[in-house]
Amino acid sequence: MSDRVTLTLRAPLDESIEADAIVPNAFATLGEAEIGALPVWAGRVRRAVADYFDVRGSRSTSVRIVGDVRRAHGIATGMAAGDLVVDGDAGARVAAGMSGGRAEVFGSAGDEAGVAMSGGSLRIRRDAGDRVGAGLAGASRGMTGGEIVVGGSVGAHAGARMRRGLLFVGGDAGALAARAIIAGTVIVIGRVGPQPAFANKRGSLVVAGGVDVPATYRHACDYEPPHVRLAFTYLARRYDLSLDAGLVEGTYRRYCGDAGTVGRGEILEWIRE
Amino acid sequence: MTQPSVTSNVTCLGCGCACDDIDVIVERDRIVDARNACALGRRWFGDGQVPSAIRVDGADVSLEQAVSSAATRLCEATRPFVYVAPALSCEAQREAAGIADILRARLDSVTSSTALLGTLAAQEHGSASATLGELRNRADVVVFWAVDIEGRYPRFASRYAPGPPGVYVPDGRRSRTVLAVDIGRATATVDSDVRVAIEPADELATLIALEAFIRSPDTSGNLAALADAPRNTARELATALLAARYTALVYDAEPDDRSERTSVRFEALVSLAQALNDRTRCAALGLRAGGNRSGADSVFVAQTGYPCAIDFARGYPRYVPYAGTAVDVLRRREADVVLVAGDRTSFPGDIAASLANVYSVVIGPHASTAASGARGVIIDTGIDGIHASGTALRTDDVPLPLRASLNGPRSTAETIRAVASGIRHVLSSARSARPMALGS
Amino acid sequence: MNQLRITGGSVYDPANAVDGDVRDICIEDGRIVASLPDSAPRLDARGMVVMPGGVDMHCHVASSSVNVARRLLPEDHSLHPAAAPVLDHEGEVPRSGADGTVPTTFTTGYRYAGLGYTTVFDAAVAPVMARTAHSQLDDTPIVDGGFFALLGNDDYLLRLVDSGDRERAREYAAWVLASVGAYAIKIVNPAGVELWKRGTKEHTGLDTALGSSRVTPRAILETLVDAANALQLPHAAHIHCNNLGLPGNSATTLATMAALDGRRAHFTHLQFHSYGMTPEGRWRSAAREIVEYVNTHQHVSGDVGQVMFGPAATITADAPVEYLLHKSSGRKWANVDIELETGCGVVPHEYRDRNAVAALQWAIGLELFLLSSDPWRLVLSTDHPNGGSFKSYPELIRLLMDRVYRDEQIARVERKLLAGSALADGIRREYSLREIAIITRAGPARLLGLRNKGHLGVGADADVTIYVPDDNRATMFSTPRYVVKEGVLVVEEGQLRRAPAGHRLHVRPSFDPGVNRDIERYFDQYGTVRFANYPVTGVRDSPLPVGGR
Repeated sequence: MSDRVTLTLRAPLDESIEADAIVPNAFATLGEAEIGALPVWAGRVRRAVADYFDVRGSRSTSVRIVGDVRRAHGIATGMAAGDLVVDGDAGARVAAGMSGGRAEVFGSAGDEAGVAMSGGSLRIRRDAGDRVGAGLAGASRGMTGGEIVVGGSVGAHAGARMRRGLLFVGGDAGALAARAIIAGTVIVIGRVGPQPAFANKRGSLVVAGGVDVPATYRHACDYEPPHVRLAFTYLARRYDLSLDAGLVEGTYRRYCGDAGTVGRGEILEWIRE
Repeated sequence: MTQPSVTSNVTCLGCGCACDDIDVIVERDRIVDARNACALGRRWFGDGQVPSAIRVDGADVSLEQAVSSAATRLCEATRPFVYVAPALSCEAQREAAGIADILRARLDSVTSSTALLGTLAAQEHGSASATLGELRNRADVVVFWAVDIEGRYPRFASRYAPGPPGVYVPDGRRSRTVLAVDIGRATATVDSDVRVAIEPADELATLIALEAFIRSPDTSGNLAALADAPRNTARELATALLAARYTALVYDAEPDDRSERTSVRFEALVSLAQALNDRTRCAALGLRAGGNRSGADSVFVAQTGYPCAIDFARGYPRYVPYAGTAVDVLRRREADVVLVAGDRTSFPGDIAASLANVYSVVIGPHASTAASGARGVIIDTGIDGIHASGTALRTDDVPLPLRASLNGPRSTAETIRAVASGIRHVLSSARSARPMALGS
Repeated sequence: MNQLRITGGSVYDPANAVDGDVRDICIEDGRIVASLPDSAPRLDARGMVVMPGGVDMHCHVASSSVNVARRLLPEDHSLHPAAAPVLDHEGEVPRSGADGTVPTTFTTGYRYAGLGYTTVFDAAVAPVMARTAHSQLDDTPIVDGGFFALLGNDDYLLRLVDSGDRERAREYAAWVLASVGAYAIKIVNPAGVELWKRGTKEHTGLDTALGSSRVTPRAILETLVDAANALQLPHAAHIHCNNLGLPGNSATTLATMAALDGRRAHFTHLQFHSYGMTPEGRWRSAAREIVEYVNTHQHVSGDVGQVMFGPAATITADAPVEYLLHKSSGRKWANVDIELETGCGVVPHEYRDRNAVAALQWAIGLELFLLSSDPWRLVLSTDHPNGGSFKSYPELIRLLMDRVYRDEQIARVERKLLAGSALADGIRREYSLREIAIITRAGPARLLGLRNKGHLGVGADADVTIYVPDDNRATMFSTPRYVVKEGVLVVEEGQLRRAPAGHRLHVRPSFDPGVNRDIERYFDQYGTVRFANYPVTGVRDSPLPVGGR
C-alpha cells in the first residue's frame, strides 16, 4: 500500500491507445504488478499498462499520470471514487461515465471529456475538445450530474443534452453549446459560438464574453440572478478560481427559450458594467 | 433470332424508393429495356453488362486463388477495415459484417459519409415515422422539405405521395395539399400548392418557431425577437399542418450540405414531427439514395446494435461515429488492408481518394473497372438485383425481393461467403499451429 | 449415428407425467428414442434435474420493430458489450454483439441457449416486414424460432370484417400466414392501432366503432379467433387486448374474454391487462378477477408478461401506448406506422421498486402466477423486453419457488398501491419443479401446438436442459450445466460450446386460391409493394402440419 500510484509514460506514444483500465478506484486492491498487467489496447492488440508505463505504488485510489498521454484515450472511464491527476494533456473520453471522485488534467483534453458523467468532478486546466460533458454517441442524455471545470476553451456541442450538473468553461465555447439541454447549467466566461442552447428545455446557459442570442429566445428581464451568484461563489471556493467580482455580483440579461420546447430554459448574458 | 425475355416485378435500387414494378427486358444477354423505370432506374439497370475479371496484384488468377489471397491478406492485416459500399443485397451485407467481426476489424458503410447526422439525431431524439404505404394512403398534407424529388427520387411523387389515390385520400393529388419548402438553393422539386422560400440562415429559427406554433398557437410573445419573415412562414406552415389529418414530412436524409446546421435540422424536424402528434398525426421520413443503403444500416443494427461506424477491435462492436468513420480511419491511415464489398464506382469521393493508398480487396460489380494501382485483390461480381437475387430494404425499411433478370458473374454474397470461409480456415490453422510449435 | 444417453438425472417431464423420477433419456439423431445400445456415449446427470428445453411463446427478438429499438438504444448497447463465445465447431462462426435490454441477433441466440431455452417466438411481426424477421431469425443461432403475424389492424382484413364475410377473412388470414412464413395469428389492440393512426386519442372499448359500426374490436376478435380455430392452426389466435397499461383495463380484458366465451383463445401478457381502478381513480390490482376467469374457463390460455425491476425497452405494435408512455415518462420515443397493417412504438423504460405503479405491476404478475390453478394454461413470460429481459427468467422462477425470498422482496417495494393485492395479504404458494417445467416448457409447447417440443417422450425433439439443484433457484436456472439442442450438446459444464443454426417454425395453411384475385386487386389499388413481391420465398425448413387441411 502506498499514498499514490504513479504511472510514468516510458516513451512517447506513437500510436493511439485505449487506456480505459486506468481507473483510480479499481487500483484500491491491486498491487504494482497487477496494475501493470491491466489491459491497454492498441487497435486490436491487447497490451498491458506496464508496456507503456512505469508503475510505482499500489493499492491506492490516488493516481498520477506523468508524460504526454494525449494519444491515450478513455483514461478514468467509469471512475467512481479516488483522485486522478494527469500532469500533461489527456486523450479523448477522459473520465467518460465518471460517477464520483476527482479527476484533474493539467494540460488539455481531447474530445468527449466527461461524456455521460453522472457525478464527481473533472477539471481540465487548459482546453477541451468537442462534446465535453455531452452523452455517449446517440444517447438521449448528456451529463446527469457532477461538475466539469475547463480553464480554457472547448469545442462544439459542449454540455449537449445535459440532464443535470454543471459545466464551467473559462474560455470560449464552440458551436451548438448547451444543445438540447434538459436541465443543468453551462457557464461560459468567453464567447459562445453559433446556435447556442438550441432546443433548451429547462437548463441555463450563462455567458459572460458574448453571445448571439437566437431569435427564438425572448428577453424577459435584467436582474442579478441568485443561482448564478451561488454557482460562481461555489466554483471560486471549490476550484480556487479567481472570478471577476463583476461577474459574481453583476447584472444579467435573461432570455427565455427555446421557443420550440417547453421553453423553460434560459440564456443569461452578462451585462458588462 | 432469340425472343426477348421479360422479368416482371423487378425491384430497382436506383434510389431508395425501391420501385418493385419494373419489367426488365433482356435480349441476347443484354438488358434492352427497363419498363416503368425512371432515368435513375434506367441508369441502375443499364444494359446489364459487367466485367468479370479476377486479379491479384494485377495478374489474372482463378477465383480460388483470389479468395485465398484475399483471406490471407485480411488475416495478416494489423488494422483491417471492412467497407460496405452500395449495391449489395442484405445477404451480402450480412456476410461482410461477419467478416469484420471475426477479424476484429472496423466496419462502416456509406451511411457515415452521407447520413450520419440524421442517424445520430434519430438516436438521440427518437422519431415519428411511417412506411411509404402509410404516406400514400393517409397523408392529406405532404411537406417536401428542401428535397430534390425530381432529380433524386423521381418516381416518389407518382408512386407514393402526393400522386396516387389512397384509402383516405381517394382523389390522390387532389385530395392532398402539397407544401414545398425551399431552403436557399435547395429546392423542393415537386409540383406544389404552396411554395415557401426560407433563407438558410433562417431555417432553424423557422423550424423552432413552427414547433412553437404547433405546441401553442398563442406563442407569438415567445417569438418577439424573431424577424417577420421566419415568423410568418412558421405561422403559415403551422396553420396548414394543424389542419391536416395526417402530415407527411419528407426530407432528404442525404443532403449535399452536411454542415452542422443540417445536423440540427434533422433534430428539429424529428422534434416537430413528434410535437405534431400531440395535435394531429405526422410522420417524418428521410429519403435515402440507391443501392440498399437502408439495408446496410438494418443489417448492422441487428448484428451489432449500431448502424455504421463500428469498431470490433476489442472483440465486440463499439460505436465510433465521431472519430471512427471510414473517412476518419482512412484519413489517419489507420487501416492497412481494406475489404471493399459493393460497387466501388458509387463511393463518396473522399473515400475513393483515400482508398488508393491502402491495400484493397475489392469484391463487387465493376471492381476491375475503377482506376487503381496494380496492388490488391479484385473480384468482379454480378449486381444484386440484376444478376443475383436477394433482399433489399426500401428507404422506409420495407424489405423487398431482388430478382435476377440476367445471367452474370458470381454473386457478391457467395464470393464474400467464400472469403469468410477462407478467413476462418486461416485463423483456425493459425490457432492449431500454435500449440504444436509449443510442443516441439 | 449421433447418440447420447443422459443417465441418472431426476427427470421433470410433466407432459408424460414424469415428476422427478430418476431415469435415462436416450437421444438418437436429434430425437428422443426409447432405448440405445449400451455402447452409446453417456452424459452423467446423477443428482441433476433434467427438463425439456425451454419454450418462450412470447417475446420480441426478431422483427423490424425490434431493430427500431436496437437502433434507438446505442447507449444501452455500449454499456453491455458481448464478446463472441468460444465455440468448438469449425463450421459455427462465433459472433460478438451487444447485450443489454435488446440484445443483438447472435447474442440473443447464445443467451437463450445459455438459459436452457431452445424454442423462441417473436410475438409481433408486421407481415410486410416478414423478410426482416426471417433474416434476423436466421442470425439467431441455436434456438428454433418463428413469429406471429399482426392482423388485428390490417386494413384489408378490416374491410372483410366490415362486409361481414368471415369466411373470406379466414381465407385471407390463411393466405397471409402462408405467404410470409408465420406461425400464428396475432391481434394487438384490435381497431385501436388503426384509430391511433387516424388521429384518435380516445381509448378503445370492445364495441368502439372503427368508421363503420360493423367494425369493432369485438368483431375483429371474433373473426380472427374463429379463423385460427377453423383453420385448425396449431396455436390459437394470440390476443393483446385493448387498453394495455391503463388503470381500469381489467374490465376490457374480462369483456374480451367473455365475448370470446367458448372459443379457444390465448391472452398474452395478462399482467398488463389486469389493472383495476379504485373509486378515487387510483390503480389497483385486478389480478384476482382475471385469473379467476382463466381458472374457470378451459378454452382460455394466457401468459403473464411479468414485470421485473430494472431497465426495460418497451416495443409494441400498440403504438398509442408508446405515445402515452413517452408523454408520461419523457423518455425518447420512436414511432413507425406500418403500411396499412399495424403500428410500432418504442420507448425505453425503467421499472423501479420504489415506484408505486411499477411495484403494483410486479405484484400483479406474481399474483397471476400464484393464484393460477392450471399452470398448463397460464405460462411464464416477461413479454421480453417489455416487462423485463428474458435473462431475468431465473430471478422470476426464484420468486415463484421461494416464498421467503419473495416476502423479502415484497417488503422492499413501494406498497402504496398494493392494498387489496393478494400478494400483500400473503400467499404461501411455492411453485414446484414440476410446475416450473410446465410454465416454462411443457405448457407453452402445448399451447403452441408443438407436438415435438416441451416434452421428453419418444419422438420428441431432443432439446434437453440439465440443471444442478441449488437452494437459490435463480442460480440454478441461470446456469444450466448442460443444454442439448436437437441432440447436440450446446452447453457443457455451463459453457456455450456449440451454436448450430435453429429451425424455422411456421405454418402454411391452405386457402381458397379464389381469394388471390381480390387481394391482388387491393394491392394494385393501394399497395406500395407488388402483389407478386409480397410472399416470402425460400423460408427455411418445411412448414409444420396444420390440422384438418
